[in-house]
Amino acid sequence: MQSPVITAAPDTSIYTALQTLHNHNIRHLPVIENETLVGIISDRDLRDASPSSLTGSETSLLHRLPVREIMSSPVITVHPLDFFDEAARLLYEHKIGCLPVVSNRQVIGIISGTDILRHLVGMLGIMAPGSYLEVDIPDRPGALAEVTQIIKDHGINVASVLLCPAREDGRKCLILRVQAFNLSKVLREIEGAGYRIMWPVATGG
Amino acid sequence: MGKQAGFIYTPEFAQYNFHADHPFGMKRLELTLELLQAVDLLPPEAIMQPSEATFEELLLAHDRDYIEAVQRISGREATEAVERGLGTEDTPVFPGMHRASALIVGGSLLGARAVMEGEVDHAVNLAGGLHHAMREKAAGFCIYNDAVAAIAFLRSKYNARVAYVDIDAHHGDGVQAAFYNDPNVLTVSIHETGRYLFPGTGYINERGAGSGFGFSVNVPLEAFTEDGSWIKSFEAVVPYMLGAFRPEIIVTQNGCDAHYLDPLTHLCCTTNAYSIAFHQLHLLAHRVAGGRLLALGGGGYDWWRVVPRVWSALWAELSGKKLPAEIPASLLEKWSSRAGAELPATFGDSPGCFAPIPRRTEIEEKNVITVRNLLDGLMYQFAKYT
Repeated sequence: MQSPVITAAPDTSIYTALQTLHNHNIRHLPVIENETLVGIISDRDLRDASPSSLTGSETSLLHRLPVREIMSSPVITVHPLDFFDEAARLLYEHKIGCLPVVSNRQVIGIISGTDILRHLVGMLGIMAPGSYLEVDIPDRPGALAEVTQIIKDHGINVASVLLCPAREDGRKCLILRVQAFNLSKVLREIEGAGYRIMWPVATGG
Repeated sequence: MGKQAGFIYTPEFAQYNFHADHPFGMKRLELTLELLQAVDLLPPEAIMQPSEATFEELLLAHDRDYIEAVQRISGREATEAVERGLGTEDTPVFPGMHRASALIVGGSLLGARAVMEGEVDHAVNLAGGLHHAMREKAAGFCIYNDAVAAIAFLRSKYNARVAYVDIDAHHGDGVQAAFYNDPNVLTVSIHETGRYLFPGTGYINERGAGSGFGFSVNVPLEAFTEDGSWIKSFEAVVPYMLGAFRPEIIVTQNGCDAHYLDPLTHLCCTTNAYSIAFHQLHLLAHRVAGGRLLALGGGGYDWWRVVPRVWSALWAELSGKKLPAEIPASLLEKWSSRAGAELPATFGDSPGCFAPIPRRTEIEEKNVITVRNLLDGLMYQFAKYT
């Protein structure tokens, strides 16, 4: 989550709110009244309220109208103890761009779709160098342990792990990044233990 | 002007031996030598005997702590090995490893010196090309980085601008890292994308840092890339970069593990791609670097069917000789019982030697996009920095 949070008051003018978004290079402003979250405005709400760049530049209304008139309320929020995947699910289901993080009625942070993506990129281990290994395993206790035990037995360090449902029911796709050059023996043993290697696949000879 | 080409070799290179089952064995080098001698392309006077690199020379590429650790660990199991990247399954500890590794560095230093002093136009050290070793640790079969030592020597002794071209299927990460901030060393590595393959680096956005920004170049190719797309990518990047950079010497790493028979990678090149790359690099050396070329070995894990043929083609190209079409029958007979697979009877692979790759069009398209994105960035940088 990002903290501290840049906010607006209900009677902040739309013009000022637009300037705030622009100056901080952000897209959402929680609206706070008496230290309580009362609404939220997005860059799209503000632009909808603005004149088109093609038709005119009459901005006096933007100076007069407060954000209270166009804000969304009530606001969908998360709690600091909510998991990352809960936040991702809320953003996806409500088709929204951010979630204020609220604790004890106070906005203490904000999390956006971009924050979720950044975290996801890190979790996928995309930045961790190593050899890519993909194994098809049955969805049962011990399968993951057996495969990783083989890797451990060869003294190889695992840089990242991803376990996700496979296309086939009752199967899982195990994706590992391992810090080793020559995987030949490990691959042979994983196959010997009855698992199917999806990558690397043999070429040519 | 001296001899055209020198072949750096000593039977003692064989001491760089992790164990009998390890894929990186100097046996590959001995088979190459045997093949070259069988076709009469390696006269004894072409051979140059290296000596072990000194401690001071190893400091060109490595931290004092690390070299001392290798010396200590040499020949016995030690718990400190793992943090130095040693004692792993990839790079196990073996008796005498310091000396064996220092001898390979000595070979590449000998080559660098012989080329700069005009004793030979081109020097070839096929035991070298250990491009994964880092300043403070071993990695991926490599203990001391002879390429880094040779380039650092060329910088410090001759103040030469050096272009390093690495065609091994794995990213030349150790050499890139050593000169990442140095605008006087251009590193170009063409390899299988790190998305799948060790070491997992070598993306187009790795371009160098500080004043070295723009002088690290990476061409990561898709798994199952074949000759046509590999050559096209090579030709789009390497001549352009070397022409713009104007090195005084070119150092090449000639790992031949991009071959379709190689067991450790997923590229699908044939001897044809290598012949073209060797010829191009040879021409480029004469066109932009006064002919000065130091060629190193590298990966290549099909010892019998691939390495001897490809490295013979490298030596033939650089020594100005022509390979015959066929492998001598006597040698085929001698090798066939030990090779464990049917040996090719010709130096060159024939078209259609492996089954068509199903996703060829997509793979080629993706490589074209990679090269385009790379070049877009490079042209901007070169306009700005040179």
